[in-house]
Amino acid sequence: MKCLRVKELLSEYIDGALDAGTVALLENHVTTCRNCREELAILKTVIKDLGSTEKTKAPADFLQKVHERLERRSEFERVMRKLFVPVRVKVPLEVAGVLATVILIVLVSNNVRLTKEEVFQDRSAAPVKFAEQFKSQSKVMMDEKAIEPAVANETIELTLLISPEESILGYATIESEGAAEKDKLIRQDAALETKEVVRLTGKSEARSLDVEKALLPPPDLNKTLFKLEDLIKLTEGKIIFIERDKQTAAPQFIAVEIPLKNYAFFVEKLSKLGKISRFPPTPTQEAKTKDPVNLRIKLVPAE
Amino acid sequence: MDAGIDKPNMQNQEDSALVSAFQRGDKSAFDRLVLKYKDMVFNLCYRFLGNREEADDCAQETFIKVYRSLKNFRLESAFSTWLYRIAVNTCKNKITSLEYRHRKNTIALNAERKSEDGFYTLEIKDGSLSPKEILEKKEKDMLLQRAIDSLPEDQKAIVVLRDIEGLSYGEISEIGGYKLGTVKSKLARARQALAKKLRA
Repeated sequence: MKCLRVKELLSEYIDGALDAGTVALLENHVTTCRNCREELAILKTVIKDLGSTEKTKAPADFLQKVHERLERRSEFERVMRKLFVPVRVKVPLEVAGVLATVILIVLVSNNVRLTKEEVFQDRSAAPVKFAEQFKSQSKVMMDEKAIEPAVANETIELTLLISPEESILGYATIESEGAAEKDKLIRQDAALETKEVVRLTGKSEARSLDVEKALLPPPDLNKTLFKLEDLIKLTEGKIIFIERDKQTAAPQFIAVEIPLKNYAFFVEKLSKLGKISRFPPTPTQEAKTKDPVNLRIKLVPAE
Repeated sequence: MDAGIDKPNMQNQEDSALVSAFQRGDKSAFDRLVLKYKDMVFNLCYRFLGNREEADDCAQETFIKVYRSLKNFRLESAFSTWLYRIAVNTCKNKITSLEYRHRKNTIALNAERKSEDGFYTLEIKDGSLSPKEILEKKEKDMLLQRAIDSLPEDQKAIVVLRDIEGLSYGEISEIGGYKLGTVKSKLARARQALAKKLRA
């Protein structure tokens, strides 16, 4: 049995869905083929990981919300039925129009009131707080000095140097196929161009790195910011503010609070997003007495 | 041979009893069905949509549809299979809705993401794990969910139903209206795609 066919059947093999004859052929192949053996091991790991994902639970008031939704729908349908039931008494068109408008206004205002209540409940139930998110939005384009933290000496300052590769791939290397493929194509193009350059100029291999890097797009700090936001959420942290460049709106600084218990994990994962200027930064004694740890991270594209 | 996890008969019998009770006028039987299946439906919607708010909305909508159709439900097939089918279709409708697509595109284009996606509200209660291990587990969950999010709709539905919900090929075929061969091939492709993304 050839590798291509074996790989097609591995999924069913793991599920025990193949007949005995096919199983024998497959196992015989896998015993001798390292590539397929690795493929099988990887698939088994993925399936095992999928099976052990946390089961999310519905909110505690789920049944109540279903009832409320049912009631709202029933009310709406009752009104619509009444509106469209033919009447024996002739109603002047103007009166019918006014009645319909009044009913619509009542329905809309009821929906708005309920929606606000739902939003309020959702916000109060939200376990991860972005306490000053509105503040960060109003701080866009502001002067750096105006937003210097009041307790600067208890804030850990660090710079994160982000290279183009890091902004594309980063530590969470799950990217859409498009992005990964684009990166591959850029590198392939770079390799072709390098060969051409070497042929024409006779210069050494060292040039190929420059060509490759030059062809990569500049680091996308917004992508790094997204990953940083994920990391902050993961570590139960809070964004205090984000400062952006006045002209390009690229993120420049981000101030965060990270619970002390998750600080080491945060720094470990942060180092995969770029090169940290001062590593490993540890909280000062003063900062340690205060939980969470305050950080002010400067995002800098690597040259 | 279809190796899968068959629904125990007892569960089917309980469901049938509740459905019959509802059809005879006992509205509280519907509540009991909701309480029994809300977490399952919510988890399915969450894994399909990758977002707690959307999952909450879809899960509620699923049970509204169940309520509307329950009096006509015939007990020839398992209630849970029917429920899964409604949940998957509701999720698919949500994905194709203009509002959902606009929201997703807006989030992708905006420089700052304004809405939380609720990933990290997962409570991992395992006394044997250290805080770091809990975070590693959450991170793994996040990466897995990102990978699942990137799959085409059918592959996503099938891999979630099989590898997260633990349904058999036959059940998945019935829920999604796929041929058995399609379930097998799409499942294989989904798993390979996930393996590739997680390995990168």
